[in-house]
Amino acid sequence: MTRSRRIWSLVLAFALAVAGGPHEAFAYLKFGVLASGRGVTLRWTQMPVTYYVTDHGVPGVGAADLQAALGRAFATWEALPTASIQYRFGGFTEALPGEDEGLNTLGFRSAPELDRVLASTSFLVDTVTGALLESDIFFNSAFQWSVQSSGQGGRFDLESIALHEIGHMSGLGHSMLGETELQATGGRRVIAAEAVMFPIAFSAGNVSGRTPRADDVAGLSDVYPTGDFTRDKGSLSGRVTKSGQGVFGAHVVAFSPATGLMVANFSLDPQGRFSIAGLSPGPYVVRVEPIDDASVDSFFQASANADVDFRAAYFERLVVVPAGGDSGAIEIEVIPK
Amino acid sequence: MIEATKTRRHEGTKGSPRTFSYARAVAAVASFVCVWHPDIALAQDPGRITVSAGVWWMGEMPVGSMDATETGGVAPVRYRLFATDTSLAPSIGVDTAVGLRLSRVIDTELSASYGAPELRTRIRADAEGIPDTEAVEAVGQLAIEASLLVHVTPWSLFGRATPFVSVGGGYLRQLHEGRTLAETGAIYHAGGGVTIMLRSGGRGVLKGAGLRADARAIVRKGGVAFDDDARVTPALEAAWFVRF
Repeated sequence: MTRSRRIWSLVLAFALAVAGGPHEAFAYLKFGVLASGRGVTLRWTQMPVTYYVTDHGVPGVGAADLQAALGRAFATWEALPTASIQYRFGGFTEALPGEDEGLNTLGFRSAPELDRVLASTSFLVDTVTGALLESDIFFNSAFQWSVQSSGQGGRFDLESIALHEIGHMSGLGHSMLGETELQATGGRRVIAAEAVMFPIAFSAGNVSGRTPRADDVAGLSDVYPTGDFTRDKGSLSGRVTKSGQGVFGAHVVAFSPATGLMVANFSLDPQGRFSIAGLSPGPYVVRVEPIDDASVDSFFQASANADVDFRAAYFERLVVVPAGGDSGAIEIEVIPK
Repeated sequence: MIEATKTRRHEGTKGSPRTFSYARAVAAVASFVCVWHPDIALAQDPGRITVSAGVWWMGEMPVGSMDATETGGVAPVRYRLFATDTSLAPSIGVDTAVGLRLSRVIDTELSASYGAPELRTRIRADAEGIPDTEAVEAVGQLAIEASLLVHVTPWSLFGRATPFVSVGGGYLRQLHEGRTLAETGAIYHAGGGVTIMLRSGGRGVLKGAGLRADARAIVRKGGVAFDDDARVTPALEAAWFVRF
């Protein structure tokens, strides 16, 4: 018997969103659920993933504009050469995002109470197999939106935000490849980001989020790998420890000094183990830092107790990633702040 | 020459122990040279085969600089998280070669060399204040080269020390630490040096033996380098050779 559960991911606010709702085993790069005591990656098992678009728009963005912008965002993910996911537009619908009607519905919904949430993705999942059964995305019509090709001042770029949400819809969690600064209002402003899946959006009018970065490409390709990806890319793995104990929730960045590309992940268990997939073969600089550019619950459920009490550091060796294999486990010792 | 050496040896007995040792070494080499009748011409006949083994030193080779950047909130500004400069550190290695004398002044040579330079990435300017540091790995470097040596016989000293110039090139294979990833490229060199015949002639198979020293400009292309640009590195080599 299939057990299913709706999971909400309140994501991508222009300022830090305090996530509510029943979070489940969120893990960066890939969403997962615990099934019979083991982590299972959420993924679509049947292709193409058919989606429907609500038949009403908002001022400045009609239903056809919405559908076109979403189509471009889906096409961007679909075009990644190392990922095999496929999407199909099923048509317009009167259904609203968040309803359990069996359709993957994307559209606007007014949620003024979520004053820092631009959009959100929810899932209906089979908690035994990790298969995604249904996923809806709502765009908060309490904000102003734009579909203009070069962006529009004061309005959030629908295509950029859709690209992020469709990443979630496809099974990706949040990336922490970004820098923010705290604002007097209590929120955060994005200084820079190198992942579409960073949890906080660029300011209104910015269209930089329309292009997946290396981190996003690695993430989606890891969930839906092509044969080329499995053969040509490698992974880097190891442990982050502090005083001999594993560190949970450390952000580990693999940087290629040859290409300048960065891909990251977190240490995801009490032993401090991490694995970064989708890396081109070559030597890597490895940098470890605590979560400091968004709230911990943008990445992990609060009960996960991610450790943020350590200093950022570099691993003293270049770590070599082979094609189609793993670097071999490394151990990175960090020290308390 | 022999007499002079004897004199030095004699003087050495009256000097410091260090001077004495030096004199003995020179005398030993000189007497070794004279065991055979000098017949350098015979040792330099076309068709002779030379086998050599030696050690080399190679200078630092910059590999590339790259910043870790993120897309800035205000396009097209990039935000720098940290900066890196990578190079192959100076290294020493071993070399062996087989040469064939084509004429009295020209040799061809096939050589194989191995060394283990460190690939070093200097990490600096971290945006969150991590002190500058370095990440390293050992790279195993194998080069197989073909060379052409031209001996400048008119400049030969006492008929034994002969300058030469050389050019060559070949295959470069660099194996990253852990031996799970190999990079290939090309290696070229141009340079010159001197061969010193210490023994020559004789009726047996061995027709000569000596020392060789050379300085080279090494050009490496590909391998662990981050692009396909050619990079020049100085190198020095000292080798012992025998000629058949």
